Amino acid sequence: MDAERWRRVDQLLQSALEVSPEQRDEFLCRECAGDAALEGEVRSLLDSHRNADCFLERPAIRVAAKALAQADTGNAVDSMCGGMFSHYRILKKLGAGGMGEVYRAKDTRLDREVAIKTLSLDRISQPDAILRFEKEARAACALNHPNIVTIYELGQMNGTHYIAMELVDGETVREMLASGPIPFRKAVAIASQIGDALAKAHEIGIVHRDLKPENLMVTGDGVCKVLDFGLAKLRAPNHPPDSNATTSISEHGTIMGTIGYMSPEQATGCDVDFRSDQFSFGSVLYEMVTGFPAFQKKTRAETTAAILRDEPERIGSRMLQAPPPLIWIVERCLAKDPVQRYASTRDLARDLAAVRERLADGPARLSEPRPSNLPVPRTALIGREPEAAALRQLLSREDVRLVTLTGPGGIGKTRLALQVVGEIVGQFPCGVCFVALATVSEPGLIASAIAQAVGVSETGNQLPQESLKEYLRGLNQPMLLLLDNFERLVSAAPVLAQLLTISPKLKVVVTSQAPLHVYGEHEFPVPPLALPDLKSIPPLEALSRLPAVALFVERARAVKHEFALTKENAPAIATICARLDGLPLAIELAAARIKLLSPSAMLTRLESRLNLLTGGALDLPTRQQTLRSTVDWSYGLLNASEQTLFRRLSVFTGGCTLEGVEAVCDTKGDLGIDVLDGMASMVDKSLAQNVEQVDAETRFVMLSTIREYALERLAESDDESKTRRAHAAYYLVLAEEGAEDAVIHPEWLDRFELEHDNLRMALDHLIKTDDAEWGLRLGAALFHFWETREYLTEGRDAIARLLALEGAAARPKLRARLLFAGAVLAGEQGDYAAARQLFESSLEICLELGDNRGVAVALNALAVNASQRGDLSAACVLFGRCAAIWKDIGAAADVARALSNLANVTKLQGEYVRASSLYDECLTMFRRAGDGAGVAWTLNYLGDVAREKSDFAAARSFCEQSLAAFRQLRDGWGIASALSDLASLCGDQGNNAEARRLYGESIKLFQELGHKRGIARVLEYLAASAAAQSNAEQSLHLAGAAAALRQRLGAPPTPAEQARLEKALEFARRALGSAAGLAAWMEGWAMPVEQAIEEALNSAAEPGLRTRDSA
Amino acid sequence: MATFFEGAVVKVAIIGEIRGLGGMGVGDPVAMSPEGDVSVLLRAWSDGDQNALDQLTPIVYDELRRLARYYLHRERPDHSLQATALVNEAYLRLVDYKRMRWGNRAHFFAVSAQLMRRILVDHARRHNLKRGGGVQHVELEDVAVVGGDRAENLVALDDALQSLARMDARKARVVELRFFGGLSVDETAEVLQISPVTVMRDWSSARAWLYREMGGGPSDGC
Repeated sequence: MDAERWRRVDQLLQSALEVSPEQRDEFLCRECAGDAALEGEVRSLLDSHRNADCFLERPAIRVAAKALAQADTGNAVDSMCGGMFSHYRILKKLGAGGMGEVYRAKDTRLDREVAIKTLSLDRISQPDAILRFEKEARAACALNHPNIVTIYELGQMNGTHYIAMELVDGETVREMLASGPIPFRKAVAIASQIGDALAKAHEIGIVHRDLKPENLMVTGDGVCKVLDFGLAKLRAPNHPPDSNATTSISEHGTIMGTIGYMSPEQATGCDVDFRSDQFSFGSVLYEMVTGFPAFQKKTRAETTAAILRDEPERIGSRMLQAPPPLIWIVERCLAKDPVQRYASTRDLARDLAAVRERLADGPARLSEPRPSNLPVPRTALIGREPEAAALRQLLSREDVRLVTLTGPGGIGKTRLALQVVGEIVGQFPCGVCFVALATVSEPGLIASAIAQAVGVSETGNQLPQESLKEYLRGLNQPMLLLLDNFERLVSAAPVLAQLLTISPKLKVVVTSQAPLHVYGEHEFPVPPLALPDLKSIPPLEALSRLPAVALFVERARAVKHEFALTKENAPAIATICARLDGLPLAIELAAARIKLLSPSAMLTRLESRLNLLTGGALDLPTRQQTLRSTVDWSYGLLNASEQTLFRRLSVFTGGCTLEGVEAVCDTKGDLGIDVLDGMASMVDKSLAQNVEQVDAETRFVMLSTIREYALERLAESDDESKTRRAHAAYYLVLAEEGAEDAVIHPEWLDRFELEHDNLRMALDHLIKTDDAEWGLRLGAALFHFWETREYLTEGRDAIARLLALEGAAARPKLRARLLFAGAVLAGEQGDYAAARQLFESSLEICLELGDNRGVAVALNALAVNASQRGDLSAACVLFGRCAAIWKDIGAAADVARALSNLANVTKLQGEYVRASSLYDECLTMFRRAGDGAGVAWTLNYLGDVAREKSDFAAARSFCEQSLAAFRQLRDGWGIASALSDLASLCGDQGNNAEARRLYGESIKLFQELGHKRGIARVLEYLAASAAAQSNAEQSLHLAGAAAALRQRLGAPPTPAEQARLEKALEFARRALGSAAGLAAWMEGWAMPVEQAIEEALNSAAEPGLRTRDSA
Repeated sequence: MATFFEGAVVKVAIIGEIRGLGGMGVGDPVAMSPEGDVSVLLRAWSDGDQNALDQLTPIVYDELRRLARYYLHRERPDHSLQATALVNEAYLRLVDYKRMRWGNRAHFFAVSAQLMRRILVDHARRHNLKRGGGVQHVELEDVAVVGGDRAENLVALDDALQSLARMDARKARVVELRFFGGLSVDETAEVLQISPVTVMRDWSSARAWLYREMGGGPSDGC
């Protein structure tokens, strides 16, 4: 419209607005005088004017305020919150997605929490949005699967459509990814659930179309739920994807879904079917395992291009621990051509389930049945036949999963449980595990105490409790846990309930003074021993069969062989048993004094004590009071020196050795008795027990009830702080001595394990008393133990607490050592960022102190850390600095070692020429320094570089020189390693017979040395050579066995090694086909290593194997 | 020109606050560079200096966002936002325009409305792009609504305003001043040197035209 015409239109519009609405028609007809276009124009503007009443009335800033405010906070103030919506009370906004908003809400009718998803108002005008919304609900309603979110209701309220669905409390996979890749066992556990859910959906013709980390929720129990079938598209089952027979929600050609996880066909707007979900799933799984998105790039166009054209970087090079079968599954899902993906998602789910079953549990547990660790009771169980039978019967019921033996201390819960569980060990092929909880003081530590007893070690960045859950989830046979002395941890009972939910194969027996009150618990109150009726004492023979009397007689005989029940002493003994309420422990304590007191004298003294105390502490339950009085009575019978010893013994936790007792309880020689005699007396009087150890010193243990009493007595004396300090001092000395020796005598570590509770207690005491000097020293001494026995989290926590001590700052040398130790532990958990920070702090202190050695060591560690993080160029710089410092110090061999490390990184960077010249330099230096091992290894590395450069003649020459050097040094590892390198070179050059001979020699040597990493490497070489010789199945067997071995060792191959192996295996997998290949690999994984070696060497000896075509 | 800088201390204090240099206290005048002075920048921009706009935009944008958050934070769920003063307040905090001479004041209103239009439209355009780009975490409220009850787009409005300006520049300016600048009818009349009645007429015509131009069609009812 030109300006002139507009002026006319505008004038007419204004004039028309001035006349009354009834007269407007007439006015317009007159004014426009037949100009229909003009009249139409004005009329349409009049309509607009009428309708536009709110339009532009509020200033722009007002309407844009919300958007502006959210521009960086993303925090919506939501008018919904707190209000009612239908019968739902809206509690909290959970988020917003492409379709609408999600709220946490309370269903006031059914009194449960739900999630409400609304279709937002400003989109309601789009009819297809409503249709899609309803379709989502209907599609998901049709899916009844534990791993798909349940839809409760589809409704409409005040024009707002909504879905009420299951509220899933947990994290999205996206949130989990915020802290890096998901440990692969957990990832596999999640993936197999998603696979299952997708398989089910695809079977009934529903394609998700928008699978992404945001749409996958994982609950605290590890249950994964697929959300948001928002873009799901109904398709008739098994309908060919190109048919138009079914309704398509999205217009044909419209791209729906999140770009980064789209399949190629989806990204190009082509029609998609279930195989598109497989691709998206593959992308998600790739990201879960590696922590990197498979295709996401900066822009949409780049991302689309990557999806269509690029292969993502190999999983193996991003995440060394990823097992090949998982890599293969992801690769198959990510095939650009749908035909090359799975023909049925059920097959994909099956493959994942197989990986989960075979791999998630860890290889060691599949081949080795777990032995039971039940302590063997020293004496026979007396008078408990009816209870034992009842308990046995209860435990044999399949529906009984949790049994709690309750009763006061001293009633004999543990003894009864040990007896009955010991009888049924055979019913639990996955083992029976005894967990002593008396030394565990915090409810939060229960899971790690169980994990430790079960023998589940920490791996990677996984906490012990997570490893435990995974272990239990993977149980394929029944297992029993016996948790002893649970009473102080009752608040942690839900943890048990959770473990039971996780694993249907698990049974738990608990001893506790109080029941746990969790769902499914069967309480088994342990009664006191049956007592004689004092009013009419039965004849001697019947009396001796009464459990309480029988126990008394048995225990009395143990200290006084000639003791017997007689007509004379029977009434006194019957009365003692009755006065002791039939409490086994009390009866034992009394009977142990039979040498000193006749039954009637004992009765007199006991009665006065019992009466006295009954008068005093009425608030205690009777039996507890009885026991306490009995212990008190027994304590009163000790002489002063024995009493001191008894009190001081209570500082030990989890037992002690005689040496320990001497050091801690008689530090100043003030005890007044010989410690050995004193301990014999304690054992005699049942106040302590001695436990024989295989190949180790006898240990003394106090029953927890008695120890508690002794602790009280210690607290009353003025001895406590002195004794505790003596305890800490003794364990500090022990730890420091052990730390020095442990490198040469690893059996020290077993000793540390036995003393673990005491070591922890000593450390706690030092921290509590702010003793930085001793505390830091103890931490430094325990580092090696924490590291090798994988108490990684415990060690890191302890180090953090020690470093926070006030006095820590004043001890820079110790501080630097602990920072270094903490860094190493962090690095082993895969927490490279934390490790780096700690190493840097350690480095800083060493620099300040002018401790050049410390600086060099820290730099070396930082360099290794950098290469672990994949920052090879930083690693180069750091190794270079490290070498320079060693040079300043004048440590020639160390300079050469640093240069050799530098060369290794340079080699990884593919700079073979530079690596070669660095190795040459090292070689000269090692030779000059007379470091034979250095020379031999450098020759070996030079061989590797030559081989990378395909200079086989040089490689062979270096290998042979290296072998000769190792032989001269009689270095078994070196010899075996050089032999395997030589063998592999022979294989490369087609000399298979020679290769087999050398491999055989090498592996035998590695076996003799127990060098498992070496065995794994040779198995991998053999796998590659079997593949090259068209022996596909064996090749995969060997690769599986090698991977299992590496998994057990926690020693993944280097990226280069893995890439080479993968390339070799590809041939074997193609030959066998995908499913059979996977199966063969997993067979190897489950195979004992010896069998795999035998298979390899035997078949290697078989003649007539086809050699690879040179084409 | 001298009067332009009378309020320098106040300005510096406010800009100091905006930039996180402290609370309500007076910032260090020496630390302020002259290009940070919003009045100067506005003037420079209206004189055709595009660099001035580049410096101006982030300052005003930040202040707007801060105020918007402040108001939203204060607001109870069902209360309407007391935002009529938002634009004025934003400028009050940035520039002490009441102490300017009359000519400057009118000029200032005109330029500030223009600036506001740019900022808000750019903001909406960026978010529209984001939405199209599949980037996550875009709240639905980011759809820049113009009318209270119709879903329309600031970007579309900007386009339509440009078309309107080609036919009838004054009406487009009325919309710019009232809608983007938040000015009252009288203030608009003052700036454009026309009568308030004319402003009302222009406003109603422009609104009808824009409504139709932006695909209004029959109403859903308010």
